[in-house]
Amino acid sequence: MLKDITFGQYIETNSPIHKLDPRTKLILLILNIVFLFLTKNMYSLAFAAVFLITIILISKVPLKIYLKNIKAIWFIVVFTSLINLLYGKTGKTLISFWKITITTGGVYRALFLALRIIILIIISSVLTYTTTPNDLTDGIESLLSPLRYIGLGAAVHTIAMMMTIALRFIPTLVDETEKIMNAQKARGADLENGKFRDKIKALVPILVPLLISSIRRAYDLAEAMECRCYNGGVGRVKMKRLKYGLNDLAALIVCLLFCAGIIILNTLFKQVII
Amino acid sequence: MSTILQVKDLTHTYNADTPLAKTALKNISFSVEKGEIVGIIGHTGSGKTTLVGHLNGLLKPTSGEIIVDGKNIWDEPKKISKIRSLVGLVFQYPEYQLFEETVYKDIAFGPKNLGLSGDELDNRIRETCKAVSIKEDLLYKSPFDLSGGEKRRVAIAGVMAMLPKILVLDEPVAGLDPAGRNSVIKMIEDYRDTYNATVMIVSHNMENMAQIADKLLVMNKGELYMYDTTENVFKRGEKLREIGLNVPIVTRVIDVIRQKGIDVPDNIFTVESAVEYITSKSQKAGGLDA
Ligand SMILES: Nc1ncnc2c1ncn2[C@@H]1O[C@H](COP(=O)(O)OP(=O)(O)O)[C@@H](O)[C@H]1O
Ligand SMILES: [Mg+2]
Repeated sequence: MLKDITFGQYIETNSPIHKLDPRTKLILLILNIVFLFLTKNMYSLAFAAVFLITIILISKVPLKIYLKNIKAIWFIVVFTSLINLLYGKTGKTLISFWKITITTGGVYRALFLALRIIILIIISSVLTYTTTPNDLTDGIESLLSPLRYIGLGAAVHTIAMMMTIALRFIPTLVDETEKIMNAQKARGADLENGKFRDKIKALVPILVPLLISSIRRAYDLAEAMECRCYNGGVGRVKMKRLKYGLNDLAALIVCLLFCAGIIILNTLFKQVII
Repeated sequence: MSTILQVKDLTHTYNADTPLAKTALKNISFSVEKGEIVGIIGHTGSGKTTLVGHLNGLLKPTSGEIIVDGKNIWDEPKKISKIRSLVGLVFQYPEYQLFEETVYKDIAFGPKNLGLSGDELDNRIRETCKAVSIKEDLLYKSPFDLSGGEKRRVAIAGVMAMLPKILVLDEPVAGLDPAGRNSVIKMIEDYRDTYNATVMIVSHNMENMAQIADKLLVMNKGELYMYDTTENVFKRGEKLREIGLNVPIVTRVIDVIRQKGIDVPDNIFTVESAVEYITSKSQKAGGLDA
């Protein structure tokens, strides 16, 4: 299960999306997410889904890898849908028993939210699949650089570096957690059964080694970086300078068309649900 | 002797039915007798870890069977955790799984999970530690204050204290200095001798294997390449070299001596046996300096 989390990995397929400037990808991702949350009816959401599928196809990253992410968060999706299924009280009543009523409005909302979460996860993973950690740092750093004018110059590079390292270490931590869980299972640890209190207690043998190894890893990484003369962003020059190209412009236009499409569909069909 | 472990036609594919599918084990079959120490050798990526993961049910075979003590371990999937007390698995770098405040408490974790408590638990810990020479005064230290070799030994003892009939260790001597390696090897031998247990060890260290293993199982690219007594495997150095493995250094030295035309036996795999042979020869000849 844990292994299914591929979020945070980089997958080389040399697609047009890989070649975009990381800043473009970051901005477009934010734009996409904002407009995803502005979708107000099934039509605009379906439009977002079609747009997403197009992006997936262009990225050349196998669909299976994207879907694995969903497998890892199915619980959240199901949970949110269920809550909405039970609390939606609009529309025709479909089933009603005991204290539970399920209405067409509820079903509609449940589906809508599930789809929205799935799209959100997938679209966010496009960024990490198609951008190397180095490019990502450069991109974040460059986008945050206006903070210099309010006296946060030194922080810009640090923040960017920290974000990148955090992203980069998601798969490593997942790996490590799985290893430790297996080792404790081999010592007879029962992670699945028991009361809530037992379950919390069962986490100690996993969390303590995980914490210790993370700290060890952090020290090792810091030392390795210092050995290569890393001393923060001061005086650091870039081998590869970020430069916008025509492809970035094209991507921006496509994305703006997408945003416009959402707005148009939202106003054309006034079936508001949130 | 009786057969305690049987692996029948075991195949394992990671990420089956995806583009990332990778068959790590192909049709592996072998059996292990009670009380034997079996060494598993092979290149990195040859499937050793995958193989040992199957033995206590952490990995499920794609096809094939694992029979422990006459019972297919997957007959009752719900009871798979029971098998973990029968087959003790020590992972690579087991010191990373230590978490308690004291060594004593950490070793107690496994037996406690098996339901032991009170005097029974206390006796079990002290008995095991005595059998494998873990000193009493170590028990009340924090596991994080120990040296690398001590940590490793304590972590291994944590699995031994569950008294598994089959003890499986994945590269237990990796990353240790010679003294550390020898003490780990010694504790494994002690465990087998005290409890008449069966042991399987994955290792890259041919010298240690020659010291301890009764049989060797050689893996190559997910397939079982050789499975025979240690003597028979090391006698066929050629076959090992074909897949880039080698015999112990002492054996290579003896081979060179033989190629020079001097008649020496081909079953010398440890420094001790080489010393013994040479001394006996020189005594027969009336001493080297005679
Ligand atoms: N969790 C996993 N997912 C996918 N492939 C794996 C996994 N673990 C191991 N493999 C692959 O299976 C093969 C055998 O690995 P492993 O059993 O770890 O070999 P060894 O322990 O002999 O070095 C390797 O090619 C490895 O890449
Ligand atoms: Mg291995």
